Amino acid sequence: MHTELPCRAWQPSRADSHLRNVEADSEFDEFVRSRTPALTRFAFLLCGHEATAQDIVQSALARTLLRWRRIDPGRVEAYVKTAIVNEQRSLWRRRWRRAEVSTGALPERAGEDPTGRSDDRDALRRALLELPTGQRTAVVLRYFDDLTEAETAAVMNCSVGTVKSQTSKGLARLRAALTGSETVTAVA
Amino acid sequence: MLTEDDLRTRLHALADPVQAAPDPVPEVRRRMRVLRRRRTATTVALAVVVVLALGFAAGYGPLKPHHRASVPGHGVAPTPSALPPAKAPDLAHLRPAQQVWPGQVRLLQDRLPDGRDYTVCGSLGDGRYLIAVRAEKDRYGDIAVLDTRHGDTLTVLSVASAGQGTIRYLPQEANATKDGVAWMAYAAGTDHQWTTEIWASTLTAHSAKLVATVPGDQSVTPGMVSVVGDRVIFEETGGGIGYGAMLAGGPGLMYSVPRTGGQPQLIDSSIGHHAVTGAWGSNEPPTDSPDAGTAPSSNFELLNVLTGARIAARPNPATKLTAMDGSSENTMSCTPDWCLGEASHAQGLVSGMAVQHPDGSGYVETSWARPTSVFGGGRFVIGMQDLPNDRVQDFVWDVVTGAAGTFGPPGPSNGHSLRMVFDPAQNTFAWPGSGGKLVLDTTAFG
Repeated sequence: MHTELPCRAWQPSRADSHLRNVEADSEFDEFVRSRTPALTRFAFLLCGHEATAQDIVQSALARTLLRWRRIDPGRVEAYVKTAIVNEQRSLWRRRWRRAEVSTGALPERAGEDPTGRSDDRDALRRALLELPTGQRTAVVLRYFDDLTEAETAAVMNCSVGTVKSQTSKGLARLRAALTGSETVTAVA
Repeated sequence: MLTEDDLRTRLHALADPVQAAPDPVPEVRRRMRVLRRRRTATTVALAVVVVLALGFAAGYGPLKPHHRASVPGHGVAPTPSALPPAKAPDLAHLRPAQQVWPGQVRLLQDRLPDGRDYTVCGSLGDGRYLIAVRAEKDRYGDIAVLDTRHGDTLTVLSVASAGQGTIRYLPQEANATKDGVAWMAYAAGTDHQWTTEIWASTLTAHSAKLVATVPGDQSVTPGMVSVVGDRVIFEETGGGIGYGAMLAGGPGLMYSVPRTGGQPQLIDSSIGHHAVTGAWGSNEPPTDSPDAGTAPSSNFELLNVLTGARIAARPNPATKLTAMDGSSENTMSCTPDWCLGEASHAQGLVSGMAVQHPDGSGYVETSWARPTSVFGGGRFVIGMQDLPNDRVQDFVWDVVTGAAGTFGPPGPSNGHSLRMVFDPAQNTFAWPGSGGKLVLDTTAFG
């Protein structure tokens, strides 16, 4: 317990500080346990790979923990999602650095084994991956996380107008891609 | 017609089965500790650099160029590139790569004489290719040399039982140069504990030699291995043999070990540098945090960890390599000769591929296309362009000549593979062709 004085900066005692740390740690751990499943699903839709999604979420949460006490409690979820978006966006640069977690096989070259039988889920996954990052992020935030345009803009650090245009373009491309694949499936 | 409600339903159907990592808290906290150590190490390094610089300035006169600090964006003055500018490709009139480079695209047999499949790891420059032989689905075992000069003979350098007591052996990365070959492999013994092994070979049968072993699981292992003269250079991106246990994507540490084996030596100057190709590392700062937009991430340097040579990397002032959120983040990555990024519109939407020299000169942009890989020291860029009717076309672009060729026919955008391999150290690029594997061999260029 402490008493804040209105005109003086409050200096926490060592015991207070320790208590606050313990409470913050506990809050963070609870946040990680409760939100990791949903955040992993969100990350999966951005990157299309389950193990990569787990990796992205853990890295984003680690970065969040570094700033945990400075994040507005009402914006924690948005902060983590922004971190996930940025982690996902930097994936290709991490691959450039060849620092990605191995899949247990030599890396395949683009162009090898490019086709495969796709069911509906796989078709959607591939269609999402074909979207530019901004469109994919906007679509996932709007239609998977059900965020408003303003909330989506906050996560993406862009204007509401950009969210509208990215969502519209992404949706149009998804419709075209999925309609095409369904047609192909029907013919086959 | 896909309605918005349909999309919601299908997105949930796609994502809901995805499993989170079990008990993520310990791993998140471990990563946080690594990040904190990294920041502390960076702060200490900067402080040391400042103290040294002040000492030199006060008592020993101006710093010589090779003594300048490796502080991102501040250490090295850009050196004008001696290379010609990049030339943009004509993406509207692409032809098959084998027609564009008939002397450099080779047709290799689709399978080995014994029926096994393989993948090409690199060219040895004389009609011989380093290959990894597929041992099982998506797994590789032997590293071998395929000699096309003498009737496609095969020289096996390693076998799955290469390590004493090894029960699983999975080659991951291989590097072929005129000096020799090296590769890294994950290996597990009967105790099922995984280590990362660095191997080198003189290219004669069964000459593979284990030159270093790095303890640790597959998430904390070296990111790259290269042969440079009589040494093997490899990068550690995780915890293990060094004092700087770092995560993948961390500042990186590079080690040197003789090709004949021995104790790996941490190259002090490499701290904070990611291996790029050969002995070159880059200290391109990580920009993957929510605060990245304010980081001075556009300027960095390339360092040859063996010679000490440094090359400053600066974006061309006209570049529009902006991030999705419109921040100042620069998304280019560089080899000593070429940098590749994604050009962006003012709104941050990707508009094409951008290439320049590290000093910012020679900048060109393509029309709308996305980069997916580089090879040949960064000279060759693999990209993908959108075609009408939601189709995409893969192509290879030689940034020196501007020539570009396709590999494979156009495909539907939603059936396209987006596998990316950013590997400037590789000197070949292979894809399936009719009658065998087609290989663009960069050692066959002048």
